[in-house]
Amino acid sequence: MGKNVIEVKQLSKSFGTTVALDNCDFVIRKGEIFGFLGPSGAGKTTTIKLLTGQLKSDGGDIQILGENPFSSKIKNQIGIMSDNSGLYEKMSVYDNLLLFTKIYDIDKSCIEKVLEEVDLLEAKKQLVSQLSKGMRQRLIFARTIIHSPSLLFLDEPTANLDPSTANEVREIIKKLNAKGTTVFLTTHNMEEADEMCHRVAFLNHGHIIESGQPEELKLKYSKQQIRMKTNQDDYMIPLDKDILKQELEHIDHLLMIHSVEPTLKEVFLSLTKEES
Amino acid sequence: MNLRICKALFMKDFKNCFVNKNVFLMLALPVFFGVIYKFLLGDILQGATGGFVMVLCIIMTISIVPLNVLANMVAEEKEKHTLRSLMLANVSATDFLLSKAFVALVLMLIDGILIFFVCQEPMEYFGYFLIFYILTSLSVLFFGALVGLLSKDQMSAGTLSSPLMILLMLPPMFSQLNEMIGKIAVIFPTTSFQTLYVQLSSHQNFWNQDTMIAIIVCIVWILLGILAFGYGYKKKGLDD
Repeated sequence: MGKNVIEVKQLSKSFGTTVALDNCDFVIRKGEIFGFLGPSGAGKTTTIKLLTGQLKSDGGDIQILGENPFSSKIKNQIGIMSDNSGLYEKMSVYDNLLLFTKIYDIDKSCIEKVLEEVDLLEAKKQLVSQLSKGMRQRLIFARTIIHSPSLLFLDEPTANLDPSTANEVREIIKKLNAKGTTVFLTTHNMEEADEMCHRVAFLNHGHIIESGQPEELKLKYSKQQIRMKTNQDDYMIPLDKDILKQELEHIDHLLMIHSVEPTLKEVFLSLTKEES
Repeated sequence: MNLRICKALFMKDFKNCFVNKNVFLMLALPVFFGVIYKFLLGDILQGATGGFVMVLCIIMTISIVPLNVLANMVAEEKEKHTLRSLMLANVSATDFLLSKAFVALVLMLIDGILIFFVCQEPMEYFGYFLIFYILTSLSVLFFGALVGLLSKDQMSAGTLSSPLMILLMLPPMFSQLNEMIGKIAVIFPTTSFQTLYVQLSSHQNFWNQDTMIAIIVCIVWILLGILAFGYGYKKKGLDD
């Protein structure tokens, strides 16, 4: 991981009396997948809109690739996939992408490449109105990455997708990240974040309540217990060297032993419970 | 303004207009009426002078295309969230609106030229016809863009544009019936087109008080349209 590509300091945004974001601070480093997690209405989409210059903040500072989010210099270096990205229904898959190659002023030869990447090459002549939901999502994704952005903003990219299509989208994101693309991802799917993200931040009611690497967070909030399973019993003991040693001396037939780690979802739920 | 982006958007919109049944119908309607009036009702309208049928169809085009077609084109992109996708790809509001307005202007020109030939108007008037037609089209174009700007979807664009369409269409049609209507009708650019073309085809001196007023009305509408659009854009922006 390299230098910071996103730096956010004291970011705040309100809509009337509703506080969407309250003094949020975070940084995203080059080459990482950063997950912004939280329930619906937590402020995830507002954050993406602020970071991509779709909204003005009430306070704080945002630096995207060293520029402010409204700078036209960064627009060709970022790709944004929002929850309300639209496609031209009466145009073919190919023509939808062709329009964006003209807008970005890039060679149209990259259309086939990107369609192959999202597995839509065979459907390139099909009208968008004839595509399934999963195929549309993959097409939106193809459009988002057609200009090879170095920073991707993905707002709930797998929401409303069937498990297999969601998995395909995740694989594409991982592949892009492996090639060096930094990804800012919002999701309420904790399992997805656990699987994909190098670092995550939990957002609740406009506050970042915790952040770090998923493994680090799971360890931090672990109940410090060990699960013991014998041919007669299944029970927990505290994570302590002496207790474990003592316990093992009494067991005749041990079937399984492992530490009990909470899932990211459990960590989030316990944190939000504490907060409320 | 980015010419490359404007050109890409123009090509896309122009192509899509002929696939969109609503747009195609709105464009075909004035030409269709031109055919009916000229060939089916030819005997009844034989005494009509000054390119009566052509002026009637042109008034329809000037009222329908900017207010209905342009407004709907803008509103459709909002409704289907494609406008958001374009703006996220660094398409500016100027690029977007200029390309749409240019498409509407080209469509109006195609419609107007078809009507001119369908109505078999003398070719010697063609050049003047184009000048009058473009001038009056521009008078309404910015209001069409404003309607699109104020509408969040195609349904609200239809609701907003319908009274304006009627307002532009009816005064010149009924201006001969009543003196009062005649006086009010002068302030509409559709009447200006009628005044200019009728004067041209009358073979009398073109420049008189009526033609001067007609040209001034068009210029005032263009300026008012730009101001109203600018104000609307400043207040509301292109997309919520």
